[in-house]
Amino acid sequence: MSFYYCFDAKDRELEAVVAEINNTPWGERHCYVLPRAHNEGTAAKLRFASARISTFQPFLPWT
Amino acid sequence: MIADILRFNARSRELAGSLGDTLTLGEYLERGNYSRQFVEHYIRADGACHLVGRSVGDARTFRRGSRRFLRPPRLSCRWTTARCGRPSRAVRASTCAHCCGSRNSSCGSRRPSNPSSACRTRCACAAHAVTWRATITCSSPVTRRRPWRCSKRDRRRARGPRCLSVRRQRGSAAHRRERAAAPPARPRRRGNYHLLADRQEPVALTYDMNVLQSLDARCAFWYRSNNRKGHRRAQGAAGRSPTTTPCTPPRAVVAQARHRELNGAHRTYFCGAYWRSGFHEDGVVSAQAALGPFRRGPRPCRAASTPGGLGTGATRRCRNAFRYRLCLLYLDLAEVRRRLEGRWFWSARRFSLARWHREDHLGDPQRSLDAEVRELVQSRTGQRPPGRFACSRRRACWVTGSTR
Repeated sequence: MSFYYCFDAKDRELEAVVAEINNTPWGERHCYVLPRAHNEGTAAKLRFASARISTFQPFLPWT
Repeated sequence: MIADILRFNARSRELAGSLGDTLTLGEYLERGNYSRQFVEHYIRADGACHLVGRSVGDARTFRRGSRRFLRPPRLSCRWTTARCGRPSRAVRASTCAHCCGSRNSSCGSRRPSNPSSACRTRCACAAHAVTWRATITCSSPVTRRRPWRCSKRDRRRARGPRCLSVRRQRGSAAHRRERAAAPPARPRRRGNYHLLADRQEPVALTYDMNVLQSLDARCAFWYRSNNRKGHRRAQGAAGRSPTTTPCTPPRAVVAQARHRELNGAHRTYFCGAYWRSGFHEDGVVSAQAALGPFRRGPRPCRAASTPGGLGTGATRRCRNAFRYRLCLLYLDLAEVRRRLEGRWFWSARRFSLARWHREDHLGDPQRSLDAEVRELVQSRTGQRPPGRFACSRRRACWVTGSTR
């Protein structure tokens, strides 16, 4: 899992976070783009919620 | 199936008044070449709706019965809401074929005339099949009076007598619903079901098709599902059909009580009419129960990035939640290669203890990761991030899949 932090022009405010998910053994890769407007937490502690588009572990159910 | 339903609903009313009293429903179905699926899954289910309905005589019965059937159905043999058209003759006991021939229900004190092995040990009609014959007259509904206690006014209101020859066999109930409606102690009560002594035998049901289909016929049409041991041709006004009613043995009844417990174990869900009374509505109900856990759709996954930790879980109880610690490297994408060059154990080009591997990340490996991420954000949000990019990536860590 890799996180990409996108800052504004002044490199101060965080604009968006891109969460890249790799399930290594199966070679699948998905990216969650999380804009700052969707932040459910605070400025110091970001919290995002997104529908799952990938399985971390194919043997685990989606339920 | 649908064509048969439409054909039956369209023609049965017209033919009911013109064919006379001799034609039974079973003969009518055979003559009309109705499919077996129609007979088993529509006529019988209609009869079940009728059985659970409390009133007799109009279309409301079917609707009310249908609603009640979708809930936990209760088959009841006591048609207390029926109103009789003429005084019902008392139910009289017929000869018990297995025992002594007494006309009383309790013949245990008598010596059996033709004792079977069972009779020698128990010698009671209650252990065998005791046949009761009753002449029932019923028509429209409303009051809760018993037919043999109805008033003259009720008789005048009755549209016409409808006769039913009822055979009720006392014995072990093989069906849960019928077990709930166990044979009453009072023999004068009516019943439209058959309880059989042999638990392996299916339960036979008798349905009033005049009520189910709102037939305005002078005669009564009855549909009776027979058991397998003979009785292919129903007696009296009942129709004939080679169909059988599903049987639920006692072990299955015990299993039905564990439906909730069994459903969902090992991610396996069961649905089918066998979970209840065997009708196709029961299959629908069990399917709804099986689909219950899936109604909310895919569970939202919430991930959070905290210093030194990554957690994932669910908004409701989840057995697959996991939490483990991570160590991420924070880099500026614009200068990642320059930062890593010239350092021991770090590299962006060749094998090293810690290596920046472009192929592990987003997009085309020939392009820069910075441009790929910018395009991705622009395609999702519509805005191209103007500032710098920082990447926190894994560093020589392997996350195993043992999350249970």
